[in-house]
Amino acid sequence: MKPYVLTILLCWSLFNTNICSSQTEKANILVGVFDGRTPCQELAKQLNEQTTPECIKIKWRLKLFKELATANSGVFELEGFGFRGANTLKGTWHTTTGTVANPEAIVYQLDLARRGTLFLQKADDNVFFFLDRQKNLMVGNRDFSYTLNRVPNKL
Amino acid sequence: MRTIKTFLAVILPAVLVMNANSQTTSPDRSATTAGVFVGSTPCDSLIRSLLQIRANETCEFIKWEIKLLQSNSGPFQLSALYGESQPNTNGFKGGGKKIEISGSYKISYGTAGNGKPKLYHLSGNHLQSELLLIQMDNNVLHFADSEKNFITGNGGFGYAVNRIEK
Repeated sequence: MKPYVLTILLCWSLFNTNICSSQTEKANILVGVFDGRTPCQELAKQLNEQTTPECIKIKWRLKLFKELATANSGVFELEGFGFRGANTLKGTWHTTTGTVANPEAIVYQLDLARRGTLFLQKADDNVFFFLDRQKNLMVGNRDFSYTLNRVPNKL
Repeated sequence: MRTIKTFLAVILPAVLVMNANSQTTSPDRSATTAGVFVGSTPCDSLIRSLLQIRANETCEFIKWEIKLLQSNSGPFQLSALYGESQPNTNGFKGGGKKIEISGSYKISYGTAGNGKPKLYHLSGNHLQSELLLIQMDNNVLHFADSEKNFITGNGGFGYAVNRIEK
């Protein structure tokens, strides 16, 4: 192989390596860690997961990251249900506006590869509400509500 | 040309200001909320103080049932069951201790960060000060502190209550 071809290939591979590493390092500002316990059945359905009638609650931990302090998008990690450790759900998020009840509400849209989308309404910087696929607030029960609450940052 | 200038000088800034003032939450004001709301919340110092639960009493969480008997201002009935959690259940050791409260509520609008949401002010016997609830929609209310901020829960419980009956 001619030397100039090797040089081009080497440059190309270095260029791609830089792109890859910059993508993983891009969304590195931790927006926050949010925990909560919700009823099980409805959110399992939204995630296309089979469950049993005995499943009454899911413990969640959501970590939101973004690239810039002012960004309205980034990446997330979501633990809960069977998705923990190596199976933690990962994807991208961005903000949109409007729910069925409130056209001005800020909604965080979490895009999960092959598992559809989760919607969270931001109440303030510390409290989020799960929405259904039509962007209605999900209604909990005596034991569990559909909220996530900010907890001290845990990476 | 003059019309365009007038638009740019007056109407456009007004529209921009209106958009800039739009906030995180502003539910539908016309929604009616009379009904029964239930939920479990933490038992933080703010709630302990509100319900006048003594410092030496164990209160790990509270189960609420709040009956708003009319659509706007009017009477309410509330029960708060609290105590030490019974492991591996959603209940309390020994069944817990119940506080029953009745009183009246009124409506205002606006939270700490937003002038629009509907706010329920509950006053009654056994409440040290007003209990504030923010209406998220017709089915979900959320506790607020005296400054009208959302109260932040923890990994176990949040501060929402959920409609079970109209």
